[in-house]
Amino acid sequence: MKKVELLAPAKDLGKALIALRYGADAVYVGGLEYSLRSRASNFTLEDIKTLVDFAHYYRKKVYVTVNMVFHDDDLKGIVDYLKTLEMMRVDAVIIESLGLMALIKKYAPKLECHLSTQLSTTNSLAVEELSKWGADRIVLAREVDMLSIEVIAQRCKTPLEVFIHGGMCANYSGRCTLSNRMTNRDANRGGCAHSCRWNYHVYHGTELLSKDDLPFTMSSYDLRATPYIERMIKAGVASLKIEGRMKSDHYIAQVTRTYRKMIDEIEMGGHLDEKRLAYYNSELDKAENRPSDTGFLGSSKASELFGATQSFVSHEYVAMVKDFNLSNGYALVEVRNKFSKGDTLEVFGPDQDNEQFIVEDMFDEDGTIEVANRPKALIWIKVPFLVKPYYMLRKVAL
Amino acid sequence: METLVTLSNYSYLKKLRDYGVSGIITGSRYFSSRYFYDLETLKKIALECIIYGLDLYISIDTFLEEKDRALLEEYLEFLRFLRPKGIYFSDFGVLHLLKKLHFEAEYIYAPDTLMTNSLDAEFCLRRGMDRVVLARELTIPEIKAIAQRVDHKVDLYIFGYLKMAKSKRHYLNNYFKEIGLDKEAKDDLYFRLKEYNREGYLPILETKYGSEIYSEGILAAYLEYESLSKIITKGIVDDLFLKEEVLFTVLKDLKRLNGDNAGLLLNNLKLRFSDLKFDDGYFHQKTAIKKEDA
Repeated sequence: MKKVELLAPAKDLGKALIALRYGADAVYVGGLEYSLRSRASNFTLEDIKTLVDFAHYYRKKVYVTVNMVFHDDDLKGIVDYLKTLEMMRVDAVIIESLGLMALIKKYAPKLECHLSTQLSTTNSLAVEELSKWGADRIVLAREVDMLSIEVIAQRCKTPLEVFIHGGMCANYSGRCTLSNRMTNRDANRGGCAHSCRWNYHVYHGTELLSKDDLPFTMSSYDLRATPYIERMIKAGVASLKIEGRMKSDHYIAQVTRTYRKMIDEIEMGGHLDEKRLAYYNSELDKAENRPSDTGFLGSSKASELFGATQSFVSHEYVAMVKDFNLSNGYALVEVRNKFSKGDTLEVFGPDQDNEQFIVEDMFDEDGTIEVANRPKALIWIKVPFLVKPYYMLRKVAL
Repeated sequence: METLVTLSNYSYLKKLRDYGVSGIITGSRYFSSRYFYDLETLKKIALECIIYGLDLYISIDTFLEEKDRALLEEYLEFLRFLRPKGIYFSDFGVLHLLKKLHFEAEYIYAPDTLMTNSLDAEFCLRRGMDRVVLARELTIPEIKAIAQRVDHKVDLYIFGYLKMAKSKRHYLNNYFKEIGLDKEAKDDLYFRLKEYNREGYLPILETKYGSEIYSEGILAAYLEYESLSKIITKGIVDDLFLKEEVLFTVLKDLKRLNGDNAGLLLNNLKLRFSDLKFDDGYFHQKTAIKKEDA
């Protein structure tokens, strides 16, 4: 069985380092320009260089998204940008534009070209054609079912990347301009207003059919592919991709770590029975998720999310460990959300299984405190076991 | 610029020729998200195109599922006998198969939203495609720049509701099931969406391949027609959701449009069909990249 890559998203350098520490084999990030997620792209070239150096030291990889659907004016300076990425030893760029792929082959040939899901690649014939033109990896459309993934993987030599977790475009990615038309924000150049998630009336002729207590929307469930991970790995999929460049530190850590453990268990020869799947799903529930399902993986007719759209989370992230004093058992933590003495907290880390304790004592520079409620404040908290920097603390819902 | 019309109504064929149309784009229930013709009807259409001197173009605009590879091959073998002048496609798997089968026709890449720059247009033309259909989300200067760069081997939508979204999801039937409404949405052209806080009704068409959503307004490139006609090879009039009267009024206008009468003809169109909203799409409005610029 080939080792599969776990690919995680990151909005900024901090989150990228968390993703790599929590088990990602590679991260994908966007620069300040040319990326589809303009609001989620906070990487300066210097940040990208720092990230590449860190990742390569640990034999991990960095991919940069250059996946805006370009208009001619947007292409200014692109060759210099690509050459810089190549010089920094970025491993690959994720692109939609085939013309850009030709430029990369000419001016920055050491950069691998991973073709984005925006190309809606759904079959082996398209994979073959795109490979012939120079694609080094193809990100399959999220509309492809599991059996088709297996067949495509068998028929094609080009490495395949498949989304396994996170938000789904309701429409084929890249083939939607609802946002352009309704808000003048270009969905394919980073301005998507998520108009698909708004409420709509439905008419047939002049007859109103929709109900105000359950309005029509195109909002899709998020994707959670846990029941299919084993088949994907066995099929030879090269990379399993988590979506979510806008997500929090805790989300990145928890989701990445959960899939890391799942992949490791499968690659060690394990079979995920219902009990193990339930365990991994309960772990994913601890991150901030919208309601999720398996999308098109198991069915050609995915359904939409009518009514409840609130995200659900079973554990609230409250602090990140910065340091630990072995001699007195106190951890220095950075507060993210409110917690109090007497709360039950769960600790987890890249190499640490979940462990719980009750907050008995904590203090800041002014002395003992009963409640930690200042975001980013540094406080000391008594922890009855060893913790390390980058471990996270979360409040257990009772 | 030649005018092509998408053929949603088979009975229009002879009349289209009389209105100066050079060809039609159509398809069948197979691999098309908007045409419902069976193969026998498609054969008749092909025959009538020969009789009336219309060029026949076939649209294969769905994304091919792996299980349908053999079916697509069979369909292309069927189409070969209809001798279409060209095939419009949006999936490179279709192109792969066309080349493999040595299918003699023009290959026209029509990816809707993705064809937005010269680099991509050039790339496609260098790899065996004969023309590309430009995205609807382009301004006139952007269209001109691309067309000039690729020797005018571009098609452009010049009239009709603008396609805004394509999905594999069966939005309406899923919703009707959710609210317990016994209603079938498939292949029905009379469904509309209306966003809660906005004016305008968005046509939505659901087929076995999923759903497509169109704009509330109708693109009418009257004022731009003369300048576009110098740079575009084929102008496409999309008849989907249009009444016959509107379609043929427009085709009549296109035959006589020039820089002097465009404004007058457009005003007449708006007065005559005052229940419809006509606009110029994205021709003069560049969409913003960031929220703060919108």
